[in-house]
Amino acid sequence: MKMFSKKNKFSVIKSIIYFIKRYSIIERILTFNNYLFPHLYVVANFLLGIELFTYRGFTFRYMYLDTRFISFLTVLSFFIIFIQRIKQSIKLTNLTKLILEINKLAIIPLLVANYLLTSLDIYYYQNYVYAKFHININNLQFIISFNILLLILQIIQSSETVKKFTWKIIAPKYLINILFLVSTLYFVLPQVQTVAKWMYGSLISYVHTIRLSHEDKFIYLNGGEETTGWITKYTNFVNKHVPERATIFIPPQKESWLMEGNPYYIRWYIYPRFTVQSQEIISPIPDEAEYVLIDNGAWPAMKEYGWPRIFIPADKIEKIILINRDTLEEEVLVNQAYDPNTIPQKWGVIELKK
Amino acid sequence: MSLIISILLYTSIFIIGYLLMSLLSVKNMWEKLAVGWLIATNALTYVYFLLYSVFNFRFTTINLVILLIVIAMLLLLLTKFKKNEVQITFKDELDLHFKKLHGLKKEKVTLVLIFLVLIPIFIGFLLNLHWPVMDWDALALYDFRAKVISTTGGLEDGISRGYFLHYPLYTSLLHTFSYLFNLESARVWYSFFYLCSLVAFYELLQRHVSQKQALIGTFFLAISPRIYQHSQMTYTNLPHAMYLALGYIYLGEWWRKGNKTDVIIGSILIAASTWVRLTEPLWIPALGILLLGALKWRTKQQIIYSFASALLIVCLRFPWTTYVAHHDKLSITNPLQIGGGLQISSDHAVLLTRIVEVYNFFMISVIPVFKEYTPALMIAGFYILYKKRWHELTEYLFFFLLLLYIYAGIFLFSFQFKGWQEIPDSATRMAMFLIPIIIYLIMKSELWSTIQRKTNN
Repeated sequence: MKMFSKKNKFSVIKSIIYFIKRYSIIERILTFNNYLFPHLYVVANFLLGIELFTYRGFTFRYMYLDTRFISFLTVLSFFIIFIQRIKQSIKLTNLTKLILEINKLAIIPLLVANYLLTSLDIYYYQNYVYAKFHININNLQFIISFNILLLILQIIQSSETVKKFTWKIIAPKYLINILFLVSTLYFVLPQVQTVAKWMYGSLISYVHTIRLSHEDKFIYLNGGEETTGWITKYTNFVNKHVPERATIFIPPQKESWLMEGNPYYIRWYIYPRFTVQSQEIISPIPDEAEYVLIDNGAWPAMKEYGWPRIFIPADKIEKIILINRDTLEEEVLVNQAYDPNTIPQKWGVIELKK
Repeated sequence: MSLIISILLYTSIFIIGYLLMSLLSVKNMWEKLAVGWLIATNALTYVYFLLYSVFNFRFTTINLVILLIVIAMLLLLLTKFKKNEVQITFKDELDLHFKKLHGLKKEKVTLVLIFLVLIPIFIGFLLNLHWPVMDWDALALYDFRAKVISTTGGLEDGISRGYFLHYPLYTSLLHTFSYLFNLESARVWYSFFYLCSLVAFYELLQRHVSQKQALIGTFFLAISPRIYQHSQMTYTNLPHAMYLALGYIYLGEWWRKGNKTDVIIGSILIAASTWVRLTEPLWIPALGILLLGALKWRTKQQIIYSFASALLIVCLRFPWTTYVAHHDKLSITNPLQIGGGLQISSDHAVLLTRIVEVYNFFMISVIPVFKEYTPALMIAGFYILYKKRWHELTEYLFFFLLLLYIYAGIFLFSFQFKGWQEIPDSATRMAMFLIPIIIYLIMKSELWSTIQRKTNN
């Protein structure tokens, strides 16, 4: 009954080891890996290419192939070849040599393409490239970092110091050591790739904005003047015309007024002015309000735009100051009522009579 | 001009930190500078807040300069009068380290590793010096407070506007320091924090492993996406996570060796985390470690140190919570008081369902923080179990208990706050402090040293 007694267990392990040695299983796996690597490289780049025009996770959703996992396998496969070549002079297959050459040649065109596409995003607006060409820049950077990682492995395999250091780690060849090393690479490689991608992307933005003023950098980070970055210019205009410590009636925190209608967010821009609001889009002016924003709504892709939506008679208004968002030209209207249907500009501020 | 002011401001904080660490008998220069900076920024902002709340010592440029000079002079005097072992001057230490650095010329791998660690630090500094503060929550609270405090010299105007005292003032006061000196780049504080945390982590790791291995571990921490990302965000998450993580690692060191400096620094760091965020009571497990440590060491001196440390952790937040209760009518002493109070159901079916719900929440919010590290951590843990190194297994046990504590915390919180499932991001950020602890455990593994010992033979 004691099929797996200590003695039996030992003989099972011994026979497995014998089997592995007899049929040179490890050597066969390693040889197979040499042939496998170029194919893995092509598959990984192909899948990454698909995700370049779709989104991250697309291939897993429809083909059950995780690009990150395949990329990891490819790097691991090349890493094994790299380790083999430290002590043995194994020959690379022609296909592997070709793939490694392609890897070397691909880097510069990929970097140039990434620089151009990122520049387009910076020049026009964030996400311009995706909207126009359906190319996901983040995924392009993933392809670049994957290829750079392989290139780095190619370069360092020629360094004797690196070879010696790696051999020191691999030398004991105990399964647990190798498992531990692989499990460490499992978290390190994707992390290096992710952070390298971030650093690369942010350095490109840095170079593009190096001459900008503090305020322009803020507008840039906030999405640009065309979208949510407009809030900086608009609040500069409000601060110019509304005295400190005055109370301003602001739109509700919903729809396209997520920024201007958030009293805790907008206060950073207009401090030390106070705000008052109602959560209804159509609402009478509260008694404490001294000024009313004319606020079309800065948040993109919403249903509701244009505020306030009430008629304010001329006898309640001191003056209406309007600003043209494109030209930043200002216009002052005196003795005039505020009618949301006829107002020529969508942005401005109303000074109420005390 | 702003460059000179920046250098003076940051250098003065490094000096204060260095002197503080000298008083605590820390010997290593890098540890003195890095941990010293972490503690000095916290202590300085805390003392300034105390002076403001008790004596109405306003937040002005001249007052800040006076405070910096007085604290530095006081610490200098204390270090001079300190009767202690042979004092090594800063110049001697610097000479020693330059000689060491010079000797690294031949150590190519070490140089490459240092270079790798320096890349994210350098890029972080470059970006944080370049970009303004713009993160949504920072504008809504942390940086807004700095704007108000630096403009008015106090908190009154901000308090009158509401949503002003919801977190302790640590990061806001650091921003205030920058604005008081007309420095636009408040984000650079987070780069200093990142740098000092990495150096402190390296020094802690190097106590157990070789220089190269410690550098590899530091590199792993530096490129951990969450840590790197938060080094460029003006939120409280990175300081909170690093204070807690380094504090727990120091307490772990004390548990192993019983060094009094470790228990003091560990407790100060954990107490410091409560001056960054108070909503998550992640300081409570430290009290357990201190209690168990006192029982383990059983000497009068150790019991006094662990009791004093526990007292520090428990009491440091009281001035702030009292101030908030007095001025904002908001009780933040106990995070479980948010909402309608703790109401645990007595129905077994409800409890069981909640256990499963919390488990699912835990799996999608806490586990993703460190799931990629799990295989390596498990292999290292099993190896220790296999080798029967029980004293090292205690560290893994403490880590497991920390996870259980977080689970239990979410479970209790779920009975107290209805929308508990809607804030997984908050739980994720809360668990960020586990990352440095995990990397520390992985890098300290016997498996690395086995590799080295075997090759050396």
